[in-house]
Amino acid sequence: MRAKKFLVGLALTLLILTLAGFILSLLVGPVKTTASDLFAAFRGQERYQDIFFRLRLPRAIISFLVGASLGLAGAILQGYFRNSLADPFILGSSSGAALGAVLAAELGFKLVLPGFSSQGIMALITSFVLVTVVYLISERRRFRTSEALLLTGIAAGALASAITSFLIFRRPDAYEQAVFWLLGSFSLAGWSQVWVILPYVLLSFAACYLLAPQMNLLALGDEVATSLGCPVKSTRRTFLLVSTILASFSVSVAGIIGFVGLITPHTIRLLLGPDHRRLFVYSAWAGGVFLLYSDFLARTIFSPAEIPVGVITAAFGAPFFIYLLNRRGSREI
Amino acid sequence: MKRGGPVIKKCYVFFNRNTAMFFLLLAVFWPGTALPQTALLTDDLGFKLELKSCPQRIVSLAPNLTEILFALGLNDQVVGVTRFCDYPAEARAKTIVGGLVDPNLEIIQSLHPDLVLGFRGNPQSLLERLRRLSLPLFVFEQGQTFDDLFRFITRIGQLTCRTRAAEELVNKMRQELSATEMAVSREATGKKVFLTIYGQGNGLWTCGRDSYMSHLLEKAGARSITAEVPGNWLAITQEQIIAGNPEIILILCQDEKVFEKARKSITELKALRKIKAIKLNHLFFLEENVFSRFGPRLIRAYQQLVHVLYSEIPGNPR
Repeated sequence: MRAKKFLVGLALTLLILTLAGFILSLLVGPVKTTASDLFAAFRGQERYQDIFFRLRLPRAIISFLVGASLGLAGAILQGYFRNSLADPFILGSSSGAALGAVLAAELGFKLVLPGFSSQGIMALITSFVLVTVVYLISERRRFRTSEALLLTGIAAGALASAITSFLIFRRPDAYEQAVFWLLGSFSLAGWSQVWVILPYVLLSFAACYLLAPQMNLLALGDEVATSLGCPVKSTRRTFLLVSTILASFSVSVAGIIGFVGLITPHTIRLLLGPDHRRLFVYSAWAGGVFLLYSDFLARTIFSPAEIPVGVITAAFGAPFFIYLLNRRGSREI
Repeated sequence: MKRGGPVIKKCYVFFNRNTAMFFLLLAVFWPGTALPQTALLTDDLGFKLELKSCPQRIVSLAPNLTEILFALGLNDQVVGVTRFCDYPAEARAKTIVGGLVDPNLEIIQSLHPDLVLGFRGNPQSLLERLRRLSLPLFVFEQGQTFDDLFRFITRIGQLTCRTRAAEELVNKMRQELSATEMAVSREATGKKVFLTIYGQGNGLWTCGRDSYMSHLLEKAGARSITAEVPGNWLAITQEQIIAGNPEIILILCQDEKVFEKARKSITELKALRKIKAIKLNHLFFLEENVFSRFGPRLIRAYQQLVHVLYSEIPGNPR
């Protein structure tokens, strides 16, 4: 009964935070705007239309979606590896994305598909290809342990980083382009990106929601899961695919944003326990809210200059997380 | 706004008076010299920009672009600049839209520009985003030679209805250039030079083959020890400097005070003590602000360089 009340309380808090976060994000920026400006813009006044609806709103939506993707991807991978250190980028998708972005700059790609810069597309492709290759290689091993997958991922990520560093070394002016991917930023977010990532994010969420009970079985160990009727191999593959899609799309629109995918699932697990049916939903929601506010702070603290959003996620997330970990009476991780 | 007035008027008068035939001939034989009512121009990234009238609200995303705009008399038309645009001093009074890599989209949008000038050093993703916001963006590649610079200025003149002013500026620069060039051609020495920029992170940096600095040195009768190495700015090791054994070390820095620090830090490098330039104490100061802008002041940079190379070095008379 108490747990149920707690759940309702958490949902309400998140709902209020989400709404407040969107309103704040719409109202505050380097251009001074008021609530009445916003109402006027809603009613069709042109003055601040572009600022509200072509810059601030898509940016808020993108940061929420990316936060949700990272939170969910983190929850999936922590469950997948049964390792609380796993984060969305653990299999090298971030290194793969950075490589793609720098490659695009190096090759001087000018191609622009709707919504994505050539660097975004390259980042998406390389990060996806890298994780797929990692998976296929570790599949071939005689002992298909998740450690093999993890280590192959780390090694492949290191290789991708080495190539990235080499390219940056050869062309110092590509460095600035790479920084965006290494630090993460939403400063270039637009509607087209929303339309491109939204379907994938929604599909991934639906898949996770449906597969959450299976993840609960996997948490008991592969053998137990098999004996309980869970098709272990295909389930694992699906989860890996989904988390890779989520991480790759996140990286391709916003660069590498650390910490969200690591601490959000943890925090939710500390609050709600290890049931993945709840864990998935709330990790995604809380991740979205966390990143929405982080980006809001990143662009307003030193306005008009922006700081990388990763700075905020770590600066605010880490102390809160340490507090949660040390709070007496919290459930076991 | 006042300054832009007469030129625009001229455009209108010009078109009203002439017959369609003349207009056609003009369009065929004299394209691009004056901005017609609708001009379709292609930038260095291959994107087309249609300008319906002379730009009145210009945002510049690089300090050298800002300098050129001001040199063309567009003081009132420039509405936004970067935080690095410090020359001329008037530029500092303009709205700052951000830096080279992090301009703020919201501020740019709020200025309602009818022309946004970018250059290749702005991140590609940023330029793509600006284009998607349907802002009138025009991007320039950074050039290497004086001819590139003149073309650069001429094209900005065309974009902004300042063809005449651009022509005058280029002519003036050409004259100054050839006057200085004369001093060089008489005494061309081909001295080996190590040009470095001080205070930019760790290590020693120098200009590579693709940098306009290397061309500037070449034109001044000197030669960078890294003139063959591909790249714009390069990190260089002490060993490479020893191998190059330059006779002259040129240090780009903010002012004389910083130069003293830079001079000390280089002469204190034990490994370099046998380099000719250090034995002869041929270390010279160049004003970074003048040298680092591919704009009208490049002539002044050239003059400074020639002065240092031919007047300040004993046994290297002018």
